[in-house]
Amino acid sequence: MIKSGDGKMTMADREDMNHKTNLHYEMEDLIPIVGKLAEKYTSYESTSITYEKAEQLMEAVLYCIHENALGQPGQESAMAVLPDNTGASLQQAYEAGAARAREKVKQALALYNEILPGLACYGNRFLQDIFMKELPVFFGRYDVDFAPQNEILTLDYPVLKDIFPDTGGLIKSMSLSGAWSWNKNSCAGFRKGMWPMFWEDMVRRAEI
Amino acid sequence: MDKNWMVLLQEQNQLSSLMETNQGTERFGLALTEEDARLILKERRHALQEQKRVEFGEGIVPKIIYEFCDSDFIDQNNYVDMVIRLQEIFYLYKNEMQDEITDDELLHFMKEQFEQVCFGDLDYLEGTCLAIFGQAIRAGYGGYKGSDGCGEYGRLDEVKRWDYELYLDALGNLW
Repeated sequence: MIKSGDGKMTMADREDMNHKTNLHYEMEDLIPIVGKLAEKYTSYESTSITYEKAEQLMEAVLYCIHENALGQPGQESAMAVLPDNTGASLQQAYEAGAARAREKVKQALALYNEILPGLACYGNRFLQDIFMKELPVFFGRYDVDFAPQNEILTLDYPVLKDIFPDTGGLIKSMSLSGAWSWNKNSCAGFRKGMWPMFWEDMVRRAEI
Repeated sequence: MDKNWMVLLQEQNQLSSLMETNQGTERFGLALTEEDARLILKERRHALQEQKRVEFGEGIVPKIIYEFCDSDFIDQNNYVDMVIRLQEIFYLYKNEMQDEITDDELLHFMKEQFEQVCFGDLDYLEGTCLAIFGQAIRAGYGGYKGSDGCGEYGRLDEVKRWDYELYLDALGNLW
């Protein structure tokens, strides 16, 4: 998913996703789900959390519900088979979305591990940093249970042009402070699409 | 983000669970009327807003009541006021301690100092005991995790307290 700014899902983002996924629910329908997640977050040892943390958990719930509703290409989403958006069905949608998010991490990590042994950076420091430093840190810090929405990996690599114009809605652009959304498709995208760009960049630098 | 959902989150099942505490506190001569309970919940909302916190489930008030109901310094006359002040202090120090401490650990610490150090003085509890404890936790102190918040203040206290055994000995010598 492509997000701007700090990677947080805004109300406008939610409205936009609701429209795209044909989801209609009220915020109060989500309250029990957020409550349960908050209890899990505090390990049942605290009855209150800060506004900031509550917002993070609400965003996590919204992310998972939409993740489920969007589904994978060619795969019917769990939401599509649910008759309405009652509390129970939203809970199921959340759980299915959370499971999907966990699966995405697993797949992305597996792909990363597959790419890593054969990776040749040919002296490109930026590519090396992405794979050797930034991605491991990202995988280490990514919290799929309580902050799956923070999926943005910010790269410092300067790009002259957009190389991934909405590829599967996952990678939009990579710029000076651009964001590259990681997941299975983006890793695959990196292998197929980003490497030639690095190569082109290296040749250009050599010519200069 | 719209904060209305946070209000909804913290208004679930509150009144009934508060009234149920009467069953446990009556033997200590403490009981809440429905009006008292509504007042406590109203003040709770203010306290949560003030501290920018959101509460879920039954909330902390029943736990505060069960923790403090056997106190020597709480009776029916000051019961409601005490509960209101205790919940304000509780939320304040959950923030001050950066959520490092669990509800039970903080409540145990509060109760112990309330009885043994503050002798029912909530200002002293808030301004001295909890301030010192909070400062220690923010600095990385974690000893309370093994003790569940009990017996902690003696390690941090800056004031020499009464030595009760010595006092009783001296008193005995007088007679």
